[in-house]
Amino acid sequence: MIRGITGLRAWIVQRISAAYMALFVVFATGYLVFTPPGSFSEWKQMVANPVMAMAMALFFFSLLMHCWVGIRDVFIDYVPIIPLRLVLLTLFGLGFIACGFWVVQILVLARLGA
Amino acid sequence: MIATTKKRPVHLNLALIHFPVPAVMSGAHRISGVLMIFTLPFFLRLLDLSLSGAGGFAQAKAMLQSGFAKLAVFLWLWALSHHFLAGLRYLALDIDLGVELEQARQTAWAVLFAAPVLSLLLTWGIYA
Repeated sequence: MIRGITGLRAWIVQRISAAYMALFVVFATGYLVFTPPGSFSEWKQMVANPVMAMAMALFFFSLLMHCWVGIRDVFIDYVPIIPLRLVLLTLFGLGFIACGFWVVQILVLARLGA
Repeated sequence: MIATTKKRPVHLNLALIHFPVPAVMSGAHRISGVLMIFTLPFFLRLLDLSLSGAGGFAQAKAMLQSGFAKLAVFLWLWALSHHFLAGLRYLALDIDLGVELEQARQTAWAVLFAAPVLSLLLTWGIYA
């Protein structure tokens, strides 16, 4: 049985993902401000760096978990019609999984092309 | 045992709720989060395009140059700034920092004002 991300588990996921994303966003903003990639090859090199690619993968993983917990809270609060809520949660859940595969594809292609 | 015979509202009727400052900030935290969820595919599309080749990189850059795009970038950076700052405030509340009512109101005001300022600075940084 898959135990869902609910209750205390959701609360913890939301905070751990938030903490990682906060650190990453500050780091990434600083990185982009101080060494702005002026050309395609510089930009690609930056993303294809193994450490950067992994940090980005973890960022997007955190982001999608965070999105799921957040949108779930929103639908629980504002969509009292249960079947509609389930449809919306399913659509957004699938959308987030699709975004996850998209990110993997983007990062793998960037690494292969490095 | 606590008596809970009173009928409690299970779902929120936003039209009936009074909104003090922290509630406005909290509402904006939600709105900014939902906004970023809806723009996530555009963000990924831009990232994908920018890494697809020199042509895609130039195309992605060009897509951000119109007046409408600049406004969208500013709004998106507001959402990110607000969500980030309000999020830090929540994390602080979790470890009992700023839980006094007066402090909580002040930090809520601070987040509401700082977010557009930060967004303006970041937007300026991108286009200047």
